[in-house]
Amino acid sequence: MEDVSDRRTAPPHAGAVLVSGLFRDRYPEMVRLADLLGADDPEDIAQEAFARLIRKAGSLRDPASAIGYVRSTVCNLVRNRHRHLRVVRLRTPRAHDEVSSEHAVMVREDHRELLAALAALPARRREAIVLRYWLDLPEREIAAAMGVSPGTVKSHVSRGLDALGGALEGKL
Amino acid sequence: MNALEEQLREALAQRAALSSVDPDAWDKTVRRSRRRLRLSLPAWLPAGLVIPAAAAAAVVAVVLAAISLTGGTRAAAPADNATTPPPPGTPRQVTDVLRAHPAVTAIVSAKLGGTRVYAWFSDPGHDYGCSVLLGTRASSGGFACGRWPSGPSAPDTGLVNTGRAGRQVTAVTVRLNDGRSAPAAVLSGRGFPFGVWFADIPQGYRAVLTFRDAAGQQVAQLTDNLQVQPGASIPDSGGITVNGWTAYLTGGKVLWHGPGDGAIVPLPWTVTHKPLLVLYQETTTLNYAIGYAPADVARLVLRMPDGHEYGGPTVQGWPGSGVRLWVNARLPYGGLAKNTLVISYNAAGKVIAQQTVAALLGG
Repeated sequence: MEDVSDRRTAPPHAGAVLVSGLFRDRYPEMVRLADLLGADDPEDIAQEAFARLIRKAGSLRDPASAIGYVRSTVCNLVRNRHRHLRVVRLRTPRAHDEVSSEHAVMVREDHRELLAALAALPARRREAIVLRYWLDLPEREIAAAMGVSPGTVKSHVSRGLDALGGALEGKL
Repeated sequence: MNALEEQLREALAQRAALSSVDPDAWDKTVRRSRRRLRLSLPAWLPAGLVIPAAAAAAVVAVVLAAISLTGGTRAAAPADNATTPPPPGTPRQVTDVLRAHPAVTAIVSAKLGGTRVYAWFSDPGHDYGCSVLLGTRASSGGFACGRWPSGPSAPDTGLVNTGRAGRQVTAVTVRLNDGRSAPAAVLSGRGFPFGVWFADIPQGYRAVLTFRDAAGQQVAQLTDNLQVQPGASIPDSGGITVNGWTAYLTGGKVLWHGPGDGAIVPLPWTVTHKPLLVLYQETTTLNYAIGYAPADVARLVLRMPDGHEYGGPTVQGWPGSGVRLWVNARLPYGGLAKNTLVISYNAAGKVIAQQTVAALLGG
């Protein structure tokens, strides 16, 4: 066996100071967004998104755009994670897995089918639906988060709703 | 807004309300941003060689079955959060994984037959580490990151297995059922909370793994029928495998170890007159109901509110325990509604108990 590593010291970091307020206000929302988009570890996604913001904080021209950046990063990371899981089927154990049964029984029966149908949508449609109906974002902001045009958002929402309606036909 | 949109808003709001938030999230985020900064700018790395994190997914998957032998005391975690950058010449597959899971311990490596193994810990305080295998066999390439599980589960032959080694363990040997040996190694390094072992067991063979200390004395032995011989400090019982999950009776709990990545689901250990179960949600499409039932329950069935049934036979538990074990996979997404019925059948096929999930959970 060989030790192939050496060790250095991490540099000091000022970006964190700029992001702390936004983190306090919006971190839970980003965890929930990642969760609704189907992330297997929503906190990991949200932390990574804010970590990237910290690294980028110095170059942000408009502080008001920070939350949009984080939201967009969450969407991208969840999408990448899904691709990753499809290939390596790898999962990180999480402490809160242990209470998933309690969570499960708390979801209303009539919502379960709807959430299941939502989970089965293609990733882009699911994103558009969640950003529209959970975060209540206008099309322009959804488009920015997803990195697509407003017209494409409209199309994803419309097709997503059609698919959900079709899946639940006769059940709602 | 139509009925579907209204219901969608309600369902999303309700589902979102179930998310919990780690109180240490900010500290972890700041730590993470520091690690990535360090790793994103190694002086020796040509700019063109920086590969997006998603590229790490391109490596072939490997299943690291979660066998472990624990014991001894845990080493202290590194005093700071400094990351260990990969040295020049580190293969790209390893640096890809390091970018997503930075090392704060030594990065150690060993040859395992035709396979090169790398291992390190990203969060030794929580036993969170990574292993990367670069092999010549189709089954021995890839990586896995996660918590090295605290109890053993099945060695899955045909794959490279890994697990924890007690601190006194310095070597492992593998004897196959035809008398031949197989490549295996125990790895440890600066900051490791425990040693980790790897064994490359060829497909179709049964294997006995023998762990030895520095004096060459046998410390423990694992076999692929999951019996942990005296010498391992935990668990208290041998493992029993049901549908890919392995149950151990330890520390007043039944610990269930999941297939593949070693997910751990604990259930309290109390012999009662009713089944005890928990739902483990692996992904949105793969859910397991796991639990145990009284000794007279030969078959356990979940009847969903829509009438669908999911069930299967129970498996004999530990001798003298008075329980039978049960695992059912591929339940529908969303978990178990409170009014899901848990129906117990005896060996003659007669219903002997019928309770709702709410009653079983005490709700």
